[in-house]
Amino acid sequence: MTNPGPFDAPDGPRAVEPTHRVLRNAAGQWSLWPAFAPVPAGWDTVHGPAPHASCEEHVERAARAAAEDAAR
Amino acid sequence: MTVHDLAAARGTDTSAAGGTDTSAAGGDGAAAGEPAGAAAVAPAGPPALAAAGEPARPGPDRGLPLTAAQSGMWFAQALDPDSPAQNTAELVEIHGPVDPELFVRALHRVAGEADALRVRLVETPDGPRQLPLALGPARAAPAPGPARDTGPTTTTEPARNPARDTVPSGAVSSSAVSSGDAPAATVPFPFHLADLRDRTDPDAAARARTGDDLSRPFDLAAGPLFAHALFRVGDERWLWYQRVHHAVMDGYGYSLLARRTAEVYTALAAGEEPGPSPFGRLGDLVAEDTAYRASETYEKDRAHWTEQFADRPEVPNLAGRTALPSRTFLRRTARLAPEATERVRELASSLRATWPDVLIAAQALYVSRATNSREVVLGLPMMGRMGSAALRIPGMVMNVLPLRLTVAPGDTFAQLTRQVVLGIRAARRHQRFRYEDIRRELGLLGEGRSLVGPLVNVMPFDYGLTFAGARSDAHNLSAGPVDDLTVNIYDRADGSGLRIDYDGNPALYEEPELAAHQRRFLRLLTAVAEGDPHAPTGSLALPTPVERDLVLTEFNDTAQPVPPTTLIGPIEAQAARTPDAPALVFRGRTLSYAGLNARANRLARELTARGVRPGTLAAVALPRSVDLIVTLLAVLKAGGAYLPLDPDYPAGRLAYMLEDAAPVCVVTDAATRAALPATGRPVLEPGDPELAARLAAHPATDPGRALTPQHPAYVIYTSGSTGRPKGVVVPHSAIDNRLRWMQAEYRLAPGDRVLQKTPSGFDVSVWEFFWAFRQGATLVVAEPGGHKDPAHLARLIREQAVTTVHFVPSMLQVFLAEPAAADCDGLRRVFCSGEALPRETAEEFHRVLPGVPLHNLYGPTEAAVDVTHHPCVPGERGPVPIGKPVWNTRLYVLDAALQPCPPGIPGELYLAGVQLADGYLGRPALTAGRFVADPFGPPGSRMYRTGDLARRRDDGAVEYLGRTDHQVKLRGQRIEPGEIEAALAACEGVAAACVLVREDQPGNQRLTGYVTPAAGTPGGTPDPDALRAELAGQLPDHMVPQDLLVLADFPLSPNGKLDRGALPAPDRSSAGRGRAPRTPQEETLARLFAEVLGVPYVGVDDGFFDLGGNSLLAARLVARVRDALGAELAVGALFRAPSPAALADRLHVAGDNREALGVLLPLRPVRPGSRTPLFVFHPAGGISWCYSGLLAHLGADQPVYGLQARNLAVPEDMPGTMEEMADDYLAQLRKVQPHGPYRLLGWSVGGVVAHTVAVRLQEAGERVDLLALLDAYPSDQWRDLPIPAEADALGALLRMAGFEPRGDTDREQVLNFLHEEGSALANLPEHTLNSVVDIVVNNARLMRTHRHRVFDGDLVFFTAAAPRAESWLDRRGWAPYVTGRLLNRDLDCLHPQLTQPERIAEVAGVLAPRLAAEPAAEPVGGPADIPEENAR
Repeated sequence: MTNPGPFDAPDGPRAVEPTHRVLRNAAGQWSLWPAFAPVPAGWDTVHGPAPHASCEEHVERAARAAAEDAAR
Repeated sequence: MTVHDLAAARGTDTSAAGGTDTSAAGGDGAAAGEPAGAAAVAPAGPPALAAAGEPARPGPDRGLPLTAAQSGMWFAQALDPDSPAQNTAELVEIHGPVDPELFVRALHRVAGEADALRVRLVETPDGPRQLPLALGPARAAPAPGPARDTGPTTTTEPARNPARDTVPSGAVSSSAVSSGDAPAATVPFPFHLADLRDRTDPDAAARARTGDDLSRPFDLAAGPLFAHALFRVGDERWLWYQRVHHAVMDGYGYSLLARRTAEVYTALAAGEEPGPSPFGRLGDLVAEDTAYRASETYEKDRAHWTEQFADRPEVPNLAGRTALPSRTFLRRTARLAPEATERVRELASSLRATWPDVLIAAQALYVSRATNSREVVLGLPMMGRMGSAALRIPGMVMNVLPLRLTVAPGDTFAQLTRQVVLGIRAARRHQRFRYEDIRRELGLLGEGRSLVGPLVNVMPFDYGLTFAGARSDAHNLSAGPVDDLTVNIYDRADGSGLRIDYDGNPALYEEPELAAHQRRFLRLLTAVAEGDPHAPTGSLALPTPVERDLVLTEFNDTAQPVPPTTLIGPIEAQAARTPDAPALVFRGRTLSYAGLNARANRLARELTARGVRPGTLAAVALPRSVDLIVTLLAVLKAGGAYLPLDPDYPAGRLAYMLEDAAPVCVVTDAATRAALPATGRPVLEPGDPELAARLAAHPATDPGRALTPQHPAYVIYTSGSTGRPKGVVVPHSAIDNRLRWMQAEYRLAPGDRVLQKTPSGFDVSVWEFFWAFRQGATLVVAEPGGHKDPAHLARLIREQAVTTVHFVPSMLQVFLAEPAAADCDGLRRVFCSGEALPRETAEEFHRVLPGVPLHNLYGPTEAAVDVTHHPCVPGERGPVPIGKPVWNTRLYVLDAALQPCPPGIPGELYLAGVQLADGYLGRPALTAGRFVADPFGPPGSRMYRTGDLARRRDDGAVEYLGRTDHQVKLRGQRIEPGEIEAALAACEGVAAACVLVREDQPGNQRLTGYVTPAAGTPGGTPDPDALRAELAGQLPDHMVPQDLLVLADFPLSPNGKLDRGALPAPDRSSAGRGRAPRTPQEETLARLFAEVLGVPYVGVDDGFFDLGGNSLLAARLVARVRDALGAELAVGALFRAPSPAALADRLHVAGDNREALGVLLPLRPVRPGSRTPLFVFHPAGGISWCYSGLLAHLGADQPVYGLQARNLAVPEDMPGTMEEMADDYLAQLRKVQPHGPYRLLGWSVGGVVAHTVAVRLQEAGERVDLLALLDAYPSDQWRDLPIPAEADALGALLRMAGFEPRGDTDREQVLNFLHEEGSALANLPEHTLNSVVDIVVNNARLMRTHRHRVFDGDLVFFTAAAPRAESWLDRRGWAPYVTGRLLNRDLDCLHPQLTQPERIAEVAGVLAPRLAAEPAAEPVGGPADIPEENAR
């Protein structure tokens, strides 16, 4: 029932493999994206392929930075 | 299985002997049952076996036992003797001349050499055995002798040309399994010859005959178990057909027989004597089988398989369900083009694999994608023969073994193929351990669970047979029973590519479905062959180009231009258009559009002053009310987004949301404010006079604001799997699109009235709040808490002429069970969403409310309430779809590789389009993981990943199938168990927690938590009640587990993961007869618990949830408690005080004996706004608890006070006369209600008292507008009777408790009885019980001495009309003491039964309309429902 989906963090040894990317679009939105799939049009890779956890951290960090920029 | 197997099959490599069954497949017999007598196989040495013509050994011959494989087949046939499913058949097409006479001689000779063919299978006391069978002479014509109805078609075939059709042959009659002194039965040799050349279509004629023959079952006990036919279909073209029962021959055996037949025929045609038989003996095969089962290898194999499958994986199949094998199967034959076949071979060699490995890998890939499963278990038919001897014996030993594969879209095809190679290698080493034994070892048999999904039966070798130089092709016609799906793949080297047959169980697959799977598989295989094996398989897709266009484009053709408006703009426009129209109705008061708009505008200006503007948030923590709606409008008018905070949520939860969302201000009321933490942010209370003054100073006109459709309109929190709820930010454009679509689809008009009943924290409330205001319709607002009370809803819908309402399906079920629901036929549209709508509920809806349209909607909070819709049609079958997309919305059902699923294939549902939320407030990573790049939409667009499993129907409608994760929906509420687990794990003394929804009783879904104790906790193991209470302080009620179990350890699966399936069900056996009630409240509560739970009895210490209560039942109980005791109670209180006793303590309503036994008993006290109270007077025993049953039926706003006798609680003087007593009570009731009009009711003695009090009130100048007597008779009728003795008093005591007196004369006996029956009376203090007896006696005395005066008015009377001993009692005796009418209602019961639930409900039904009427200028009249009797 609970298969890890293409966006879920893999468990076991794959957790440290570069399974995902972080994409960004012109609107400044982020998307996690599985490394195996082609990057959709209108999105650029801004991080990765990298482990899932690293991608999440990247988004958090980048979002904080963007918020600080906006506040400035 | 592979080319290596081919070598093995030819006996050149016995160390890794394996191979592929050449045609028989799926014959594991497991689904049909187990071999009954497998254990009875005799461990004999090589039995007496002789080839044809050899002398048989003497001695008794009981034949041979069956191999384990045969046993399974035998048993399956025994279960359904008329089934032809076990027939296997093959057609060999011979291109060249054939001499039929020589051919039949060859067949006859081969049958004589193959022991396995010359048997019949008979059940014996030792289990089934194969007994010898002698074959008659070979004839190429109908065999002479008696026709056998079980025989093959030979006897039914008319010989068209005897001269050509009949070819005599020498007889082969002795049997290898026979012995001399037990002559084998002789059967005619089953052969049929026909020349079909003159038929229009000779091949079709042959197919018709073989098809007919295949549909005939063999008679195992009679034999023969094979049949041959030879059809001439051209001058140089012949078809050799053979059918064999699977119990005697497997596919590998077929290949041996065919090869030998060609060899013998070729020799005969050349006029040579064929070489000696190459076949080994059947006895050896049986002996080897028997020996294996006693061997060490068997144990090793067993260990291998049980270890491999110890976690008992769920195995996906393409049908998504299982069925028993049918008697027939569907077959679709197709070919892989020769070029593609060549590429497959090249690919295989480039991967150092065989082409069958590639085929199996491709099938695994297909199954994985088509079932949305990462793990796939395929069934591989295997020869089951180890060692060179077995490889020479035709017979039945084949086996099916599971091949377990993990298919990840990120892995390459090369990696997948490697898994297959290694998996087959391991399986082959253990290939003799039987499939059904693996299932038995794993305990799958009892559960009827499958071990494998589809079977892949690859036949890598070409027969390459020639018959005297004539080339031939073999075609399998039947490979045995099909459990699910068998993919048979043949390579017969005729240059036409691989033949790929899909055999499906017709109970599971329709022909087009099977064809679609086959078509897609061939496409996938071709793509694999042409693609890069070292690229991730994720780039490969299942759908054909047509399917892809259908699911991505055609089904999503929803583009619809909408103006760039906001949620609030159209509301203001509407208010300007129809200022005087009714906008809102709450508690009977109506507010016009202009009035509502003005109030909202004033508040909006105030909010603006407090910092609310576009892009900011304002929290709204108000119960359902006019203020709530005004505030929501005001926030939007100010340009802000509203954050609803449900006042019913626990303080911890509210605090978290305030902290997380950081709104600029909070609008709340005094009651809720107390629960909110001090945030330092401005707090506005609409009831605050100072605020009111400020508002009055603001202009009432629409405020200006710099709001765009992209600004957020609201933020709604949903459960979060990591323990933190998350706020979903929804922009105006999203919800505006949603409402515009809804209006276009459902056409709300000014006359419509929409019910607002969904709590503001649940996003369905959004359209409820705003849709009506955009269209000039009216919003009818339900009472706070009213959404859980079906009776309230039905009344409101009827009284307020509601036309439009929403229900969560589980609440719809509850509503439909309410009798008044059928009266709600003014409804014009009913919407369901929030959870799967069961078809039965939809059908029940159509029965109860015929003609009212029912719409099923679906959508997550993350996509502006709803994104799909489906109109329910009465009589429709199957699951109710969630339907098709709304405007400007696209739905994608995607597989694990993010490739679109074709129609019918399940995948995860993704949503795209204008209704998507912005994301989760302050949670960028979470947002990036759920709102992801959309590969199918405009560049740079996003799609939302729902986590819901779904599939498209062929018509484009989507069916909801479940979740891809652990998230659950419980009565419409979205719950992440992870959030509750995090909360539990944070409790002291808890080490780990797991939460899931159990449904141990069908229909009763219960949130169940499991915890393990933390080591070294001082308090020992955690107390479930305490944990529940702690959770109730942090989580909304629906997230507090109803069952909490403390386990020493969690059960783990072999791979060390928590085994959720092994968590124990809560034990409900302990609940039972606990302590009896001590107070009327406890008694009432215990009774209500029992009623709501549907159990006969509830002890005062029994826990509501332990007895099977769930949150829906809890809501019902809370409503009942409110009605019965007038106590407002949140469902959460039940978690903190789950037993009647605890709840009674919590309620503090007449909480102790002193009050319960006082002269004035407030059964339901007066509250502000409640109606004129009803005073009820005690019967003979002096206690008025018996009237508590009235409460539930009179409405929550009807106060009820009981008058009770003196001397119950504390020693007091008892009254000396009825007048004295009446005077005392009159003084008591004036404390509650100083002046009339009064409403009085009395049962039995109480009736006499009530009459007396009524007269005295009138004499004092007060008005009495209701005097109701329950089977009470005037003093005159008692006067001459003796005063009762103690025994009678005890009888009265029993009556008070609702029992018929049983002749007990002993106080102790009576008290024991009451205790056993759980009566509250049994717990009364000693003094009280003694006093009751005295009171009974005293009342009897007062009754007899009383003189009635005249009451001026009507008398409402209830007669206990069942025949009774006291036949002299006659209500007409009241005539002299009443000036008005005597309005009587007969109740079919005895006097003591009048206050039992059913009767008291009837009484209440009569009184309710009289009590509901505001005191009239005239006394309450007698409506027509009571027959009027002439009082005079």
